Amino acid sequence: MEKYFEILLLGELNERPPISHLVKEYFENFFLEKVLAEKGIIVGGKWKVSLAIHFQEKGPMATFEDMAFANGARTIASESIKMYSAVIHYNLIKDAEKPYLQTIELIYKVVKVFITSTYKKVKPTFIDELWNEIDLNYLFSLPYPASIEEQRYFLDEVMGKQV
Amino acid sequence: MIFCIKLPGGLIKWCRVINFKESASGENPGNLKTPSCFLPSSKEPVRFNLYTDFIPLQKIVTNPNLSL
Repeated sequence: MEKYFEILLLGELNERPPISHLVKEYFENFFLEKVLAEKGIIVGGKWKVSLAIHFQEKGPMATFEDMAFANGARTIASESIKMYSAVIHYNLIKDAEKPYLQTIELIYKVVKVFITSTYKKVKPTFIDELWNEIDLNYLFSLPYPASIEEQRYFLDEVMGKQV
Repeated sequence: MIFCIKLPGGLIKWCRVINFKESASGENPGNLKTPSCFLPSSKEPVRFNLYTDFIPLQKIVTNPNLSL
């Protein structure tokens, strides 16, 4: 099956949650099946969608509290891709009592805001109700903290771990 | 901070935001006006500005009609 929705995780080694790449894949499949296919969005259409989520330490000059979303998408017509970007302040995770759970919840929240803001036919309450279907037992069975090789953040290979 | 960008031609390329970290942390406020990035290989620089190109979540929540 063609992959119509992709999540890209990015962040410097000391400013990102050490989660397995399987977390990302789980959310891709979850939202594809439960939301996008269910609502007839993206799947089977002309465009594939990539959502790049950047983790970044918070600083006093940052103008947003927790997360921000790029205004609009970058369109690559030759590949039929629309790429959206979001930033999460890593401090929200680093300072959390349960950082792994916080990471899972924040990724869920980012994807929720992205989908409901971009595709108005999906209401926030619809995705809120799906939270109960998240298989936390599976996610918590994955290695955490995961090794760098297991994390497979986007661009790790390209940057030679220098990000 | 690294942003990924896909350009016509198929390859995912990357760029580093110039002084983004310093600007965000306040260590180098002189660069605050240009926390943008570019692709040196691109004829038309692709620029991000964290402060003008990104919408804080709070703004989206208070204005649900705002599209990303």
